[in-house]
Amino acid sequence: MEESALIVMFLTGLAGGFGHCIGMCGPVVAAYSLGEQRLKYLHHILYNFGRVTTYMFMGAIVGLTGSFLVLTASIEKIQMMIMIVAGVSIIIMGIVIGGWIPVRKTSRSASWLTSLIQKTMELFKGPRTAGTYYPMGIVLGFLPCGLTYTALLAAARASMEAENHLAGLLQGAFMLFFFGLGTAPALLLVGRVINYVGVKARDRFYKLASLIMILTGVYFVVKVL
Amino acid sequence: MVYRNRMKHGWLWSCSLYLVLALVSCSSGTDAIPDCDPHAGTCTKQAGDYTIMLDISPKPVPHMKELTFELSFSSDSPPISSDTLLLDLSMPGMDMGKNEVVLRRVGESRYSGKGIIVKCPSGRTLWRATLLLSENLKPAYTFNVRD
Repeated sequence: MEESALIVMFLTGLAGGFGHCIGMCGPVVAAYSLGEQRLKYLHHILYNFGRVTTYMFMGAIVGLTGSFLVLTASIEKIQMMIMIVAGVSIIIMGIVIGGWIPVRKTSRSASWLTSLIQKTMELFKGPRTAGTYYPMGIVLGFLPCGLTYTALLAAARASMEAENHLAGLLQGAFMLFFFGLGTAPALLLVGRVINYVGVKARDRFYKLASLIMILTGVYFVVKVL
Repeated sequence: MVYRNRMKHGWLWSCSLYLVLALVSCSSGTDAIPDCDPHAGTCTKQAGDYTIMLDISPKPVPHMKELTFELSFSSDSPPISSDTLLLDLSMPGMDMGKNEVVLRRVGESRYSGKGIIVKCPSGRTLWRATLLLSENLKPAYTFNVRD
């Protein structure tokens, strides 16, 4: 495996992170960052590590099969489902964070519907445990992304020249690992800034961010339907 | 201590401003317009003394499918010595990573190669194929992909 290919993948991720991911994935990062003040960097690191794990998995499959299209055709339906779940989750988080529906502890006098809505809202209200973020990153790593597709395409091309299937698998996994690693700084920055601005200008910022999140969530769902 | 806090806050506010600008630039897109319709037929470009025709198949040209890119030079174009040429696929206004199609010589002035145009979930369909002929000659074909 050529080291230069790994460096190129890292730089592709780094440049794409600031030029692509901030615009496309910023609202997703905002969704899990708002309302989380305790963990500082840990939740961002865990989320990004989860995302990179998924990229490595997809890179390994592409490296093993030598085909980009086999992978994308196989995971298309899963991606659509994740996009809907992510979209609905982001909408709910936006509603909760913006305070559009007040979340109170459920009381005995509340009707079953009110109770169900409030319990659902409580699930999406931060802070969450640190253990939530790694699996969240794994799942959201499957979201369809043009930049990731290009990285997978490069891994598929490179693996066609690999000595055997195992070498191809490892090459694909490593290439996507370095690509994912490159995209992380931009998203870490987004998350940290969202945390910071969220503290400084909580009320106004939360209202605005929640509206952006709701619109993004609606966009995710509409794109699939 | 106060200075350190000011530095930290200044840095974070600068990053915030950068993020806002990045988001605005992403959402505003690009003013690039298509100058080629690969779904209808071949696209022709002039670059220096070269007249270059690009044909992409199958038609209509879709995302996420293996495509054949065929390049041919008009008979009055100067001869090309290289046996391979690179066609760079990019999306105007959005970094989609490096996606280059290697075109191999299949005739005296004809080159062919396989590639894939990836799909952007943002819904943007405008793509640009830039032939990397030399340092100064980089004819570009801008077109919409159709699914």
